[in-house]
Amino acid sequence: MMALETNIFPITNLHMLAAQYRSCRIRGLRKGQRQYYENCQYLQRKLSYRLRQPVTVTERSGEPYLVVPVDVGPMPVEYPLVLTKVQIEPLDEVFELDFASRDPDTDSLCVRFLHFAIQAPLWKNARLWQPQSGGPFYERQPAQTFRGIHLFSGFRL
Amino acid sequence: MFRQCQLQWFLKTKVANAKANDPFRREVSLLSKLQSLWAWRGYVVDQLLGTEITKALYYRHPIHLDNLLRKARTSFVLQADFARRHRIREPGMSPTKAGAAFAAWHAIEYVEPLTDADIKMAWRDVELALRNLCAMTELWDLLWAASRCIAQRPLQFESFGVKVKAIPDLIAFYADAPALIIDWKVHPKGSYSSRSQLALYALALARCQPHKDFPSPSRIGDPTELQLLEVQLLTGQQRFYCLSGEDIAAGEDFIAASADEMLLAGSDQSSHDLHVADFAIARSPEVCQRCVFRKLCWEMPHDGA
Repeated sequence: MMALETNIFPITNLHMLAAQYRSCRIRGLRKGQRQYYENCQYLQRKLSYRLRQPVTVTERSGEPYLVVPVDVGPMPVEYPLVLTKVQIEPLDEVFELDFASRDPDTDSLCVRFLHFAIQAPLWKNARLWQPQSGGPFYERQPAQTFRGIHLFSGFRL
Repeated sequence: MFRQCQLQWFLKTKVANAKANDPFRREVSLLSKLQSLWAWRGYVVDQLLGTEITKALYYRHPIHLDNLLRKARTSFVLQADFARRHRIREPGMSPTKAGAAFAAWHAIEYVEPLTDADIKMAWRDVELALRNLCAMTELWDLLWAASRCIAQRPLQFESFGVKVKAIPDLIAFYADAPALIIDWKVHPKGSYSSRSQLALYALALARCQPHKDFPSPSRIGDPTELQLLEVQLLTGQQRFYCLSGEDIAAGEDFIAASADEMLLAGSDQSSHDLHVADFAIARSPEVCQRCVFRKLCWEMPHDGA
């Protein structure tokens, strides 16, 4: 059986990191709807993988908003979900994300942005492959080969 | 369907009724007839094979590709015209009244993009399926050797307190060999395996009360002895499957689990005693968007349910 190791790396330069993000209004999605939370999570996950950028859904005054990096590129105008098809309207206001300050509203944004920031160079690394978006990365060269079976070692963020 | 969306199953099996006084139930029945273009072109092939193959085998007439293509083209054009003009919405129209011309497309009802190129591609698939079928000489040898072939026959049996119905595409009976069940598939990559589907057909054939026109004696007692064949008409691949006792047990487990879930959902109750909120909805947006009942379902009060 393969051993699993967990490595924990503290990020020591949070005060030096900066990111700008924009909010987008999500029309057609509201609290109280059946599948509201599932739809929010689905939208967040699918758009993140499609755009290859950190995308998260937050709530402001009880209304869901999509939060994306300011340089995200073209966003879909609408997106199909369960029991609804939402319209996505980018708003003009741009916010500065402070990674050093702890705040329940921005912590989830920071984690998501950092997660993608760390993955980005891994996607470009020709020695690695990722069979599935959001899944583990594996080395292209097998760690072991026996009886015609290649064993690839990998890791997950 | 039940596992993908219980509410869809409820609407199709309990609510849909073309003859009901309730306009909602009539609308559900109408919507239940919608198909995607993809599903419809497979249906055109199934329909044609169901009639032409059994007729040819019964009367011992060889099948000619040109004849088959001509009949397919006639059906295709007739149904495509009916569907594009959305004649299902004409007052008084019904599948019975429309007869062989009947077809109804999801894309037309929901005003989704549908181009001439899409329809041409659908016809290309139909043509390819028929050409491939006519070229399968070994399969035809098998079919000609059968004493009787029956297409699209509903087989019913009872299991774990529920009635189970299966409709295999084709059953070929032999005097000196186990019966053969064939499942036609019209998938572009042919990667879909219908092993578990064929296992259920085998169970159904073995467990149902033999129909009057089943040859006697017919070797269908043990489902593991039946011959099962999946024919991928677009790729020309044929896959034979052998079932073991474990496969049959797995099939029965599946029926038992499904029966349990459906009974818990109220499958044995009248639609008057059931409510929309009693049923789980799809978890997948793709399933929800493709659903024929989308317009009714999205208007229902789901808030806080």
